Amino acid sequence: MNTASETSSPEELPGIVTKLFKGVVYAETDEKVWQSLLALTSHVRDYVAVLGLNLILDESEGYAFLRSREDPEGTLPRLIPRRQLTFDVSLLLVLLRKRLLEFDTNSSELRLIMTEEELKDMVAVFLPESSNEARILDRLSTNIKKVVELGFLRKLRGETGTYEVARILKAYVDAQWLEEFDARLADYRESLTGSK
Amino acid sequence: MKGQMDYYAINALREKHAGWALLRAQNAPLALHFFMSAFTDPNQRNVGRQQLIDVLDDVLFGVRETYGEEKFPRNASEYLDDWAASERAWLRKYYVQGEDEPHYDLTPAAEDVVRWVESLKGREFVATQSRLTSIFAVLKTLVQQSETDPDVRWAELQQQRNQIDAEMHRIREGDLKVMTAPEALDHFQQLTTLAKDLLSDFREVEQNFRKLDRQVREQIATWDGSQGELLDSIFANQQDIGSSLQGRTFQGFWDYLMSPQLRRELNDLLHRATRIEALARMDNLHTITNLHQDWLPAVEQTQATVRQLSQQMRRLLDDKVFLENKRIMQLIRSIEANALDQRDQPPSNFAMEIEASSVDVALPFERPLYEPGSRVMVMDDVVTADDQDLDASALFSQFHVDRERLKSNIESVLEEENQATLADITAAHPLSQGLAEIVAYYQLAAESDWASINPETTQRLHWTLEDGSVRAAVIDQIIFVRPA
Repeated sequence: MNTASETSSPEELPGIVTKLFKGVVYAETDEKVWQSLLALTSHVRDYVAVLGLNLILDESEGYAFLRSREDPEGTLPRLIPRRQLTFDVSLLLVLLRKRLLEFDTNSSELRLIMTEEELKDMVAVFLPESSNEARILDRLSTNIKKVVELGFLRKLRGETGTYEVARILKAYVDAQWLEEFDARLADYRESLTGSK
Repeated sequence: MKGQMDYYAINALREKHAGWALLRAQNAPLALHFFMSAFTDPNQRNVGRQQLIDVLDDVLFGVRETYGEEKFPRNASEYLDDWAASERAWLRKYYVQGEDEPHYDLTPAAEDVVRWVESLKGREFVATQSRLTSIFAVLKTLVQQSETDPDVRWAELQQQRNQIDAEMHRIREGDLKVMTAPEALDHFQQLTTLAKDLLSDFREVEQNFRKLDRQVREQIATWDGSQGELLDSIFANQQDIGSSLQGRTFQGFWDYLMSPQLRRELNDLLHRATRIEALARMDNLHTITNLHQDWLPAVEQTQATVRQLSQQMRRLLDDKVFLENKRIMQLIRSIEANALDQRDQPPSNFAMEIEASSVDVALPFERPLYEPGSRVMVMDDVVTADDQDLDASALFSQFHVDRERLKSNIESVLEEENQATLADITAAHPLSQGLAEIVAYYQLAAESDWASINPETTQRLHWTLEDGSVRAAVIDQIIFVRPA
C-alpha cells in the first residue's frame, strides 16, 4: 500500500499524535493509526518527549498511550491530568486487575467479560455489612460508572449490564501502583490501631 | 494410545462425559434438533447469539404447536444459556474481536452425539463396496509408503504399470467399464461421510489445542521453581503447541490443502463429479461440491486458534511478565487482606491517583463560536405537511419537556461515540413529545459549547403519535460532540 518513503515521512505524525492526545490507541479499533504508529514510533517518541511525555507502546497487547515523564522535582506543569480515586474505586481497580491476571493465566480467551452481577459478587466481600443493601448497590454502580469513565471497563453494546475489562488496565494498575496502594493502606491501618 | 475401556472407564464416561449427559437429558430431542438446524445442517460455526435465538425460537414454535407451551416452558435465551453453561458444555460461548455479541460453537462432544443420532436413522443403503475400496487404498498406501526395500517398491510400481497398461489396452479394444448407478451412489455417500468426518475432525483438533493450552497454563500457574526450569520442562515435554504431535499433523494437513496443484486437482474433480449422470438426481449433490469451501474457513479458524494460543503463551512466559505477575499477585493478596480487615472502617479521606489516558488540552478556540439565535428555527415544511388532523395544541399546551432527560439521552449516546447527530440520538431514544422535544434539543444545542448546528445539511426526524401515525420534521443537522 504505502511506499517506504511515504510511511517514513512524518506526514502522518500530526494524526497519530493528536489521536494519542485524545486517549489510548488500540490496534484492534484504530487499525490505520496503529499501523502508522508502528512505522513512526521513534518520531512519535521524540515529538512527545519535547512535551515531557513518554510513549508507552505494547505491541503484543495491542495498545499505546502517553504518560507523563518522571519529574521528581515537579518543575513541569502537568499536561496529563491525574484523577483522584476514592478508596472504593481503587479497590475495585485492584480486584479487576486480579481477575484479569487470573483470567490470563487460566484461559486462552482474549476478552474478559463480566456481568454486573459478577462485579457485585467480587466486591461484596469487601463491603461493610450494612442493613441498607440498596445503598451499597447504588455506590457500587457509581463506582462502576467511574471506572467506565476512566476507560478500564467498557459497556458492551446490546448486552445490558455486561462489561469488558479493558486490557489497558494492566498498564496503569502495575506493580508500582499496587505497592503504593498497599503501603498507604498499611499506614492507615497503623494510624487506626495507634490512635486507639 | 488411549487405555483399554473397562467397566469403570465406561461408567466414568457415563457420569462425566458431556455427550452422554446430552443423550440422557430430558430435552435432548429439542437440543439436538436445534444443534442440527443451527450448526451441523448448514455447516456453520461461530454463530452470533441473536441468530441462534432466532433459530431456536423457530424450533420451539414448531414443537409447541404440537405439544403446547407447557412442554417447553422456558424461552429461547434461557435454553441457550443453560446449554452453554459450563456444567453442560454442549455449546462453547466466547467473544470474538471487535464484536460485543457473544458467539457460540458446538462442542465436539455435542457434535459426536448429533452425528451418532443421525446415524441411527440408517442410510438408504449401506455403503459396502466403496468402503472396501477405500480400506484397500489406505492399506496399500500404508504398506507401500512404509516399505524401505527399494526392490520391493520398484516391483510394486512395475506391477501397477502393468495393470494400467492392461486397462488401457482394454479401453482401446472398446471394453469400457463404467460405474453402475448404485456403485456411483455408494461412492458418493462414502464421500459425503468422509467430508463430514473431516470437518468434525477440525473441531476436535481445535478443542485438543485448547486442552493442551490449559495444561501448560496450569503448569505455569503452579510452578514454584525458576523460570528457566519451567521453560525447559515445557519444551522438553514438547507441549509447545506448534511442535506437539497435534500441531505438526495439523500443519502437515494445512500445507497439503494449500498446495496449488492439489487444489486445482480437487476443484477439477469436484467439477467433473457434478456432471456424473448417475448422481444427477441426488438433491444433496451440492454438499459435496461445496466441500472445499467448507474446509478452508474451518481450517483457517483452527489455524487462527493455534496462532492466538501460541502468542498468548509466549506473552505469559515472557520473563518480565512472569516476574511481575508473581509480584502483583503478592501485592493484591496483601491489599485484599488489609481491606478485609478494615471492612467496617473503610478509609474515607483516602485518595489514590491514577493518570488519565488523555492529554488535557482545552484550547479556547476549539469551542464553537457563538451562533446567532436566528438559526434556531424549525423549517416551515414541517407544518405544511398534512396539518388537518395535526394536534397543534401539543405545541401550545404547557406540557413539560424534561431537559435533563434529553441531556442524559445525549450523554448516553456520547458514552459510546465521540460525536453524534440529533438523528443518532433520537434513533437511540425515540422522540416521545414530538416537535416540542425537537425544539428543546435545538435549544440545548444552541446553548451548549459542545454542539454545533450545521445549516448546510438537513436531517429528517420521525416520531409516532399516540394514534400510531408517524410524523416527520426536516431540520438543520445538529452535531453533539463529547465534551473533552
